[in-house]
Amino acid sequence: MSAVVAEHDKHHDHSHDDHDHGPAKGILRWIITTNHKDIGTLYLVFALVMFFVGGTMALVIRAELFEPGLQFVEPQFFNSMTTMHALVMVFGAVMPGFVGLANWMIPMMIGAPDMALPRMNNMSFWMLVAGILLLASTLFMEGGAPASGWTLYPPLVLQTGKALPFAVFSVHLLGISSIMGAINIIATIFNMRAPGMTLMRMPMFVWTWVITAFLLVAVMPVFAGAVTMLLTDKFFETSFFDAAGGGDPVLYQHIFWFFGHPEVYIMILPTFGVASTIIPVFARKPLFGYSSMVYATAAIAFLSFIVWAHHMFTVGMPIVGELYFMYATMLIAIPTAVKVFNWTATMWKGSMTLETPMLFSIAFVALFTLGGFTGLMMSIAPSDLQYHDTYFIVAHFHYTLVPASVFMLMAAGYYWLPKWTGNMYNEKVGQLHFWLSAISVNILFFPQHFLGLAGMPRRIPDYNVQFADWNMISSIGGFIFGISQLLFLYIVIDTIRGGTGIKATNEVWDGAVQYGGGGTVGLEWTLPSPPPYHTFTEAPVVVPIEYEH
Amino acid sequence: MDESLKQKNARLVQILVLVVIGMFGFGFALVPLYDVLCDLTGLNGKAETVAAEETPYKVDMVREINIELLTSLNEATPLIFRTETKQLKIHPGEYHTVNFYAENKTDKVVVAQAIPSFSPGVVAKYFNKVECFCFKQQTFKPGESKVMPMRFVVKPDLPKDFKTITLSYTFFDNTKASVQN
Amino acid sequence: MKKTKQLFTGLILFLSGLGTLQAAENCPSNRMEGSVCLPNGFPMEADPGRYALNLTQGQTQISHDVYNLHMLILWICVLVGLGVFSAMFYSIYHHRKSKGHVAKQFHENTLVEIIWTIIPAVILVSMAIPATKTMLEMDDVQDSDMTIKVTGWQWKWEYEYLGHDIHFFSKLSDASNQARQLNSGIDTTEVPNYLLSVDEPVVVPVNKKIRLVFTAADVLHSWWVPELGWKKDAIPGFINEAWTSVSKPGVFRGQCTELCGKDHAFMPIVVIAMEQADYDVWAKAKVEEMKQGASLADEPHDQLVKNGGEIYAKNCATCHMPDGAGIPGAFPALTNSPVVTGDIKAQANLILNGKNAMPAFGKQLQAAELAAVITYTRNALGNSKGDEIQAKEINSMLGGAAAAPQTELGNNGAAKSKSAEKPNSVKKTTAPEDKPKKADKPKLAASQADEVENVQFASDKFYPQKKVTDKPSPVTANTSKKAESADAKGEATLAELVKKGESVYQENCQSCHQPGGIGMPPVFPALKGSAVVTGKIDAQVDMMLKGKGMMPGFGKTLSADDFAAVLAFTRNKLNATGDFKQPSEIGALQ
Repeated sequence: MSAVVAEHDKHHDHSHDDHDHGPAKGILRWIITTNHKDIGTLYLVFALVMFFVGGTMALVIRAELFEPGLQFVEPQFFNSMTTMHALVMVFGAVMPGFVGLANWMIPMMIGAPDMALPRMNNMSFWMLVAGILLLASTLFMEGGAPASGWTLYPPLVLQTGKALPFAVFSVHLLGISSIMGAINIIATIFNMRAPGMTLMRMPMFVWTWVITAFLLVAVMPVFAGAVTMLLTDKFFETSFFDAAGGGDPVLYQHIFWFFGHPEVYIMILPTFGVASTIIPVFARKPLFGYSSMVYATAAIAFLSFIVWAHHMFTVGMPIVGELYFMYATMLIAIPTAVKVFNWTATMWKGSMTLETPMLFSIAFVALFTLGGFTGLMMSIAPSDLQYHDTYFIVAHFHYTLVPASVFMLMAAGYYWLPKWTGNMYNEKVGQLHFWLSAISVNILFFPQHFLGLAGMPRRIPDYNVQFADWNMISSIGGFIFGISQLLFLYIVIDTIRGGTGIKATNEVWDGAVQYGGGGTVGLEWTLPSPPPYHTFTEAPVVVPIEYEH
Repeated sequence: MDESLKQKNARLVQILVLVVIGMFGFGFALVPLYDVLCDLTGLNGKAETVAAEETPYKVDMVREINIELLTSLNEATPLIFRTETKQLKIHPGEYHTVNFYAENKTDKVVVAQAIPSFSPGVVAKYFNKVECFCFKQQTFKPGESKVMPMRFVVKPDLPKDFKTITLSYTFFDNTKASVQN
Repeated sequence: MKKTKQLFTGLILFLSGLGTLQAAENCPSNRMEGSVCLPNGFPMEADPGRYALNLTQGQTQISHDVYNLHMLILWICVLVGLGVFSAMFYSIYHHRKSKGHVAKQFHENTLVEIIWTIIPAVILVSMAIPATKTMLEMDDVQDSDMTIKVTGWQWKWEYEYLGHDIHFFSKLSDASNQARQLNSGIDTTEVPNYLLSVDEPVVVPVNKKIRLVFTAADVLHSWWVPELGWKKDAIPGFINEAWTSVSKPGVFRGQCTELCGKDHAFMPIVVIAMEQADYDVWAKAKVEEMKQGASLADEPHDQLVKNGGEIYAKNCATCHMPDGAGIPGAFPALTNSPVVTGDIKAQANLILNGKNAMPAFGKQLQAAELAAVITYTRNALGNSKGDEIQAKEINSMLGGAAAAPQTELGNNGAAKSKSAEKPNSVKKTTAPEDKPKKADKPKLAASQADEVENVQFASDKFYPQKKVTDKPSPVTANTSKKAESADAKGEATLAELVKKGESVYQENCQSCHQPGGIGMPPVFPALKGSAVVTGKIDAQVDMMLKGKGMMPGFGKTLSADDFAAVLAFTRNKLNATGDFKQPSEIGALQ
């Protein structure tokens, strides 16, 4: 190993107060902050809160589905719950969670003092809060919250009561917030890298985020456009999606999924990045096939733009369309498989230790592969005509989102919490949290494959008794999973307040400096734990890392 | 932050903002693009909304195409709507006229637009209408009934695979919108 | 065990099927599925079991192909998964620090990476070939034996057998519908085929290529019967098609699979495939039933009351109020009303034929609806007579003639618009010569009646809109012997206007302002001697055009001719102001 970090960085860390002010005092610090670490913390805390809000909605759904018959909620409210659960989890929990990680880690990973556009950074966070509050407010409106599914398909969504314009404006705010965040990340990565941090030396997390950011910039405006058209169709007599005026409701689906499919990858690519960062550290081995990982990520992102209509095999496309989208979708399996093979090869002949972040990462690789397999099955158009809009789909995308995105957000939490706080978390409770989550998530989602195949449609509050047992098992899994997450909350709070009392070293994880980066050292691990308020105010000089062959 | 970095950032942000605006526009551009795509591929069986010229075609007496006509009403459109001919066999290249009957069930003026749709969708471009009540909105006086002709031809270059063409018309109630205008 | 279960199921079917008992009497097999009698020897439905794991193989060639495709890909995934997971878990087990394993530092191998890119690609091609074949097969809808048009509604399905005069709506069965209400207290396991049974199943013959054409009337829906092997979206304004050919008789159940609003979960699909001969029997009976119109089958008491509640809300509550309290002075209370608690026939007679402001509902509602609403008024709204009347009796009171059935193509059939669908005796037709024969039929039926009333309730206001008399009243006969065309244009004399105005008045105003313009104080003012009608003519015109309070604006609903006529009538027949306005003047104001 011959990696070097510039020396002048070290003395600076302890003297920043001399010439640079620290955080503002009190609550104001969090409102006006432009510091990437503060904003990262805000995003992460917000995501965690939303994770519990969205999770509570999921529990309402699972409680109603515990047994056949309607016991707790009216069907309309049930539909609002499925809709709001999805919107809150996607736009409130998973996306902000990864933006939070990006804010905290990207500057530290590439040796930058802060994000490129710190004031915009602050604004994009508070717009996110405003957007989510606006969305939440629709729950209390006449006619209830949107109940047309998170896809907001017309004409059904136009039957929404007073909530429709609020939901649309909330999507606008969330979109603007995401776009600003993405622009900021792109500018930071393009313009703020330390000398020597070439593109092909960046940690995979940074790589996946820059690609994600481009996806965001490309598709969030399209979604904003689609919901704007909904709004004008409803209130201004346009007929983009109304057949009566020459429009077509199917057009909305095309526009939506042109956004929606990349959106799915917006949630999964940073997940890949976190996994590619954590696995090498705990295998004590460099990431296998770094460059093919980069290309595979880019390929997945590219393919995401040309496969959208595989969400719409049942709308009645001409046969050439069905076949094209089937073939294109099947192609996604190749780069995804390459990634899974690379992670496996990274573990192969390593020297593994199984701390909580690694456990979550292993569970991610295994369970995401499972979700990938069902995805491949669904790409086969004729079979998809059976799977479409059933619980098989619900199982598929929850496998790619919960034990993938959510697990890796938690893995990232365990992995970087000691760096952020300077305290080690309680490994025993962490392991307990992992095992409870990993087991219950399978009890929760695996039976949903059976339900879907047996014929249970999604988005229904009540079902035939033939589906009763698997639903009950799924609900039990759901409640265990939900309650288990309180352990994570406990660990986060406990670690911030001192945790086990063991102070984290700079490197925290044995081998993190050497394997925690991409083509160079994991820069964040060269900083103290916790890192000072301002880091890398003078850029470190990074040199490539040479591994043995 | 030195000046050159600020400039670099500003430049990049400008480019990205342009991309964002461009993509927002692209979302709207998808609307006409979709129509073009529909015309090319017969996606969703969208049909022409303007009359075609009545050009004579060479009638293919060997082939026989089965035309099925369907009528529907959207939501509570207060009309009685049916076709006088539900099914007819035609030769490609031959012009035919079929009559549709619609009646206003109310004692109020009803403005309605008939939306055509083909199945299979790809046949739409081989189906020329020279006269159709669907080209424009229809206004029905209270209690009024109308017999509305539709004159069409199936072009002889219709691919051989197609033996049945289904054409559906759905009346949508546009009274509210047209009163406001 | 299985037999016991079947017996048990049969028993439940029998008990819960009380509503269809009438029909079941005529069903030799004693097995009803909704309204359909299953033929003798019809195969028993397989119990889906409660721990089903896999996709159904289904009952069609396509569904078998799809199943095979599904299994092929599942096994490929299982094999690939086994390979990847065993390598991963081998590594996790053996290559651990605690086992003293020292990490090798390799981090790339071009050959390996190329190999594991190519292998998935080859596997994908091997999947794509059978998938493409199946897809092409599914797409081939040509050369079908019959076509069924399927329309999705919030929240029911409409089926129309093209060229066969069979047309019906299919809704969730009553037993399921009661059990699915929030906290219904009904054990759903006791309900046969809970949420998967309908009142009117679709019946198809086996081994015939059946083409289905899909559309929707409001929002998106999707039609899915797993055993047919596919689902298809129903899109308002557009049609989609698909086909199926069922290989053996059976009952197949499915559901709507595109979120379509609150009752998305409650619009199932039941397809019954029968041998051709059995299908023919069903189809013949169904066509007969269509001809006869609505079912005159007896309904159980509770069902009558339940149905009647809905009909009451739609047709009666505006005047008699939702709780039956009426509006004192204008509309009598039904609670404890001597009519409603008196002789049931007398009440039925009044409802059928009307009285004063009460319109005749005999022509507006179907016999079954009338029976239901009459039974409802006697057993709800604070009344508890406990008796009931059935559709058959109503039908005989209506003179035995079947209430005009609505089997028109394209008739949307929604219950809410039923009252508006009834034929009127006078129509204006712009294309008289081309007038199709079918359209004349309802007219003939209607003109046999002396008087046809058609009352609509628009929004929360009550205003009878149409009442046409074919029998000339003595007054008008004296006023003018000359028969005038209703559509006459140009200058009209006062006499003509007054004559015409009488019928317009009867049609539009009389139900509230009463014959002779005496009104129903305090709700509806008298026109005789009214300050408005005897005052400035322009003020009256203005008020009639725009409406005021409960008085609707007639500017949009009446033609200029009719408007001028009724204006003249009120001022010169009910009163004597001597002034009037020409239709052309009114037209200008409109």
